[in-house]
Amino acid sequence: MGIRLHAVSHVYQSINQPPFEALKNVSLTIQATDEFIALVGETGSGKSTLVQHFNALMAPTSGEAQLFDVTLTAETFKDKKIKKTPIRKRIGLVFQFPEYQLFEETVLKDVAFAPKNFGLSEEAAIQKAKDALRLVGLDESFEARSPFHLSGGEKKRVSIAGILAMEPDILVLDEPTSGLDPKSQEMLMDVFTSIQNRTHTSIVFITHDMNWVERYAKRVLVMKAGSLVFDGTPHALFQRPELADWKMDVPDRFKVMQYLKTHHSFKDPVTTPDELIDAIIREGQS
Amino acid sequence: MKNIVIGRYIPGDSFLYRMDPRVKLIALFLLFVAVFVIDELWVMVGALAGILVLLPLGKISIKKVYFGLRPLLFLLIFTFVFQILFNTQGRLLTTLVLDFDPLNVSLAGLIFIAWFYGKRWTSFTFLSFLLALAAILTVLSQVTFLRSFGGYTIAIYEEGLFFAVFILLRLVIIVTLSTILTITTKPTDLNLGLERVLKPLKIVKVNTEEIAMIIGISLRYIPTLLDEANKIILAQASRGVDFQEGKFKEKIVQIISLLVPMFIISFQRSDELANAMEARCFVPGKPRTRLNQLTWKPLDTFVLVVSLVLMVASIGVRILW
Ligand SMILES: Nc1ncnc2c1ncn2[C@@H]1O[C@H](COP(=O)(O)OP(=O)(O)OP(=O)(O)O)[C@@H](O)[C@H]1O
Ligand SMILES: [Mg+2]
Repeated sequence: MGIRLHAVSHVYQSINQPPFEALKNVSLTIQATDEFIALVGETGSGKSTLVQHFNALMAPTSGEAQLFDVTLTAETFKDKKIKKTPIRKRIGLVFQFPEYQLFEETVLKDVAFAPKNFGLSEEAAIQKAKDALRLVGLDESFEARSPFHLSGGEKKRVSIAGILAMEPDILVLDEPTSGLDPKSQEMLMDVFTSIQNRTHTSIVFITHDMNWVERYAKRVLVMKAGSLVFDGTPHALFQRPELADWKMDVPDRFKVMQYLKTHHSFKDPVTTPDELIDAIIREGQS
Repeated sequence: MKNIVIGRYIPGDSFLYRMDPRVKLIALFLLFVAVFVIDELWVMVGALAGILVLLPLGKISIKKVYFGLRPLLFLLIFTFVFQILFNTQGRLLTTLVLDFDPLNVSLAGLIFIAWFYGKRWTSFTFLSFLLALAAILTVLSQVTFLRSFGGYTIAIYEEGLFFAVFILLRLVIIVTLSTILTITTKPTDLNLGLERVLKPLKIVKVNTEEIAMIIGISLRYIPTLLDEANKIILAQASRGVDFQEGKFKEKIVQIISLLVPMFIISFQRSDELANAMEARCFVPGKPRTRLNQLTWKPLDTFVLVVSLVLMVASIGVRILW
């Protein structure tokens, strides 16, 4: 088993504001192989806070997080003998904002930073970095450039490559597609899929776009105000009446069907594009 | 990192919050002068007592002020120890002869280890450290089991002790007073207060509005930048940087991996801020009106008079005593 959270709550303490409970009693299990999970929920619902528990960046205020063979609680987190770095090697987390991590002079060096930290030799790390950059669609011409002079989307790709290069067992991505054009978004999602097909890496990604959820995810987690309110397949999610309450959209395809149902009194439920085309043809003939 | 108080405004309500920012600044200045003028230990102790009364009256928890002092703890201890060890003026008060023999050194070591591992269970790290230190010194000076292999004499002189305590108190009072100011004053009010207080300097062609704005913005952005630093640390930790460990060379890389994004983000923030200000037609040096006008209340007169009296009194004590 990869990640198992048991009754995890997280309270943000700060001196000039009252304590804020960003996670409430969240329990979930994520297998170490072949998971493809979308984590969704409205802004501020605690998604980023949750994923930072996945790789031991944050400790549960109460409850426990079992990350591979290490169990973290509020107490054991402080124990310096329990090393967090090996966990972070196995569970790679790409942050929402690339600005917080890019710092080397060149893109290549920056991407090689993580593998080097995790004990690879200089040459091996550079090789991994090159491979990762090709994966996210940045060619050789980018390698010598300064990461600070890239566009937002390119920075995002560099930060993703930076984690891909360390080849984690579980790959966690905080809004990997935000700030990218639709084509690049699709390309990146395909990259993740092909990585999974090749290495059986489990993948968790945060997104606000239901089309990606429907197309790529095998499983969806829905957060609302710090609680995990749904854990199941995308298909089951889109049938749920609470969707609007969770501030969630349905994929465009569902909207089209909804429209056809109400305005053209389509009767047959359709779920795949082919069925939809068939239904339209049938409807047109009758 | 999260609990650093410097420059942070903490919402609340008490007479300290209701005071005019101008008065707070002037009072702070007067009290600073007073604290620097004082040269009698008992007056300094009195001043500290006064502040300890002021805090609960102003509904500021001592814990928050302590958080404000904490980043300076090292500096405070350093000056204290430095004075005690190296100031050899005045009467010799006492000497502490430390005698090192294998047994008492290991005993002292044990006490230190006990403190080191025990400190997790107490929230009074600093206090327990002092206790442990006292115990270690006692063991080293009083108990000799075997033949000693060396010794060191700590001689404490009157002046040394006096200045050690004195400077410690002075630093604590100054930091506490400034912390009270930033805790109870909104950055905008502080800015406005500064601008008004510095206004007389305009006569000598100093651009007081800009100075006030610079100070105000800096104070406002300290907590923001600390939050950013925290996020950077997490992002780099994700990439295998272990900020708690590492040899010297690794430490340097760690610091660079924190500082570079920090600079970039600071410049970005200031760029954004400049744009936002220009988008709202901010022109440096142009006269501006305010949404909230400052109002002078009887409380302000009272506080001003009290601070003035305190300052004059401390000058008086200095001259006459
Ligand atoms: N350092 C912090 N201190 C206090 N509160 C915080 C802190 N970080 C986040 N929060 C609060 O915790 C809640 C959850 O934040 P989080 O970043 O996990 O949300 P999110 O679901 O990732 O949102 P988004 O979709 O906008 O990225 C928010 O309401 C936020 O205000
Ligand atoms: Mg987020």
